[in-house]
Amino acid sequence: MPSVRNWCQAMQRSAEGRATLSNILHDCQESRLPSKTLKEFFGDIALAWNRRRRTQLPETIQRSVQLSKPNDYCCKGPDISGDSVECSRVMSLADLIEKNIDVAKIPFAITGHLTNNQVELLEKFGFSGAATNTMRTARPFAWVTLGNKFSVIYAGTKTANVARKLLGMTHFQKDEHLVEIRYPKGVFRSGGLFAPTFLDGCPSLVYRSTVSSDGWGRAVDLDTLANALPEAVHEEINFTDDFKLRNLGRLKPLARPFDWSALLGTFKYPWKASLYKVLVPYV
Amino acid sequence: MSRTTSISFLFTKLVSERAENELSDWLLAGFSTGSFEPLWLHDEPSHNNQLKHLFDDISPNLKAKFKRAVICASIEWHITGYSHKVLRDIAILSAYVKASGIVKVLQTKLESDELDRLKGDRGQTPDSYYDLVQILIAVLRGFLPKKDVGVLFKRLFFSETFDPRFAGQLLLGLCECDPENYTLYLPRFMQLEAKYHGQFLLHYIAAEMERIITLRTAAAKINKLDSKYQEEFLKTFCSYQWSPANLIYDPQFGYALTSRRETFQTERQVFPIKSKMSICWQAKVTEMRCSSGAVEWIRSFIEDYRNRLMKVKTEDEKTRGKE
Repeated sequence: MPSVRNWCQAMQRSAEGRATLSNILHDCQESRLPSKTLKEFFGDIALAWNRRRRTQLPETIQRSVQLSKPNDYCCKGPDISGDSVECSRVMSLADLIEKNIDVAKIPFAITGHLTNNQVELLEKFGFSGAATNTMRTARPFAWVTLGNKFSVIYAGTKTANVARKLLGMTHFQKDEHLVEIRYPKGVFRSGGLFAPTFLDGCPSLVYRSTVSSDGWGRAVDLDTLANALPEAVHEEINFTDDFKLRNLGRLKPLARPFDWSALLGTFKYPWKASLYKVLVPYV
Repeated sequence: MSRTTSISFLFTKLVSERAENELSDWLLAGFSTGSFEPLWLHDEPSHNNQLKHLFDDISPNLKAKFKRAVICASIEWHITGYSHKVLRDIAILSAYVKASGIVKVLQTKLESDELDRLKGDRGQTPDSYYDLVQILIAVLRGFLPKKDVGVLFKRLFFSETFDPRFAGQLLLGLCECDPENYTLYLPRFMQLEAKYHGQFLLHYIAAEMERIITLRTAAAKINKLDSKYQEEFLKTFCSYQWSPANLIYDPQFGYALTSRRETFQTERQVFPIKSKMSICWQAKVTEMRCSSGAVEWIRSFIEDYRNRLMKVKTEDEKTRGKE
């Protein structure tokens, strides 16, 4: 299908685009996604490419495809056993207030900031009947890490910065206030936890598809680019009072943009135009 | 050009090249579909947060233009054309970029019957009306102490028809506008609390109220509260920051609390209560180590203090008589 080939050619012009293509290559080579999902995805890319406007970037096309079928293009990687795992999500405090707190009950003003005392209240009192909506991002899924591995970040100070580094979260670029949301034990007992794939992590995140012995993905360490903390995704689930909050503090803005070219050298299957043939069975 | 730089560049270009009404349409479409083309935003933080960060990096002229576009979008929003979530998002964005023009728009929406149409699915938790209005009030609170907001909050708070579930937010908003007059609002809130028991998380409201009105103001004005509410206030609201367990960090408390009586305020001129009371207070707090019985203890503390004061005055008078 020439449209998909053209989309790949447009993507490979930027380092970020080549990172996305390397992840696609990895997930095809390692059979981490059902071939039906891949075929549907490339079919939608082809349609969107043919309808594109002159100024539309290839990343925007991928994004619009993923947004058009939000449930079809997330959490499609291999299942992870969630029997006894303790999961944590690191998220922006402002987002939590915006989306997951009933502010008629926990009566904070919406300004984008909370005082330290207010965050302490949330830690101390919990959600007390004011937890609302679901745990998700702009798409109907969220990222989590393993709670017991994540606790290492509390060993030192500047916990928010360490969390960002070990979870590869360059999308928190400014001085966001981060919190750890601890999931209730056994919330994934009946399934719902998946190893991430390019459909979850691309085109916007610092993400590298990885196969590990425990089934979890691995975040990219922002300093060393080595594998860092375990990561997984889950479909949106109800946010309840059983979730707990821990304050991570305010981030220091990122000093420099992330070096995408350096990341390209760390992929198991780095993208080359000639490797398009790997995608052909799904196109 | 990295992705971060290019999104920032695209945003600047977008705001400078498009007219305000076009930007307003772009925002409405973006919040409706989740797609803010030509930008591609991350899945998190929220789109509002990402737009705010992009906004922070543009020039003051473009910032003013973007704020006007946000207000324009809030005016353009109507219940038949858009989901309530779109107005929710626009209101939050206006709070993040401090577009104070939103106050007038939200005031009109809250006082008209337009939003009442969202009450159709009432009974579900949370319904769309509740989901939207709690956010609109929280956004408006961010613009306090703007006078318009205070006036609106007062009307809604004392209205017999406005949904009482928002009374906690409105109470705090009114206290923010006018902490000295918290005694005007507390009785109404307590009545609503008694009627809709369990609706409000009193520990959060108490903690926020303590932060907003401050201990000194609370103590100085408590005598303006009807006596039946005074006790309720002490029992319910002196529960977090001002509970005996926390007061050890605030040696001024005993002084402030007892000075609520005008006679004490006059008499303290002849009695060095500040230092003595703080020592006494700390000792008592250490002994109690919990907040149970706080009201009884505060009352007995005041009585004890009054007796000691009287004793000193009597001895003074005796000494003067002897002289």
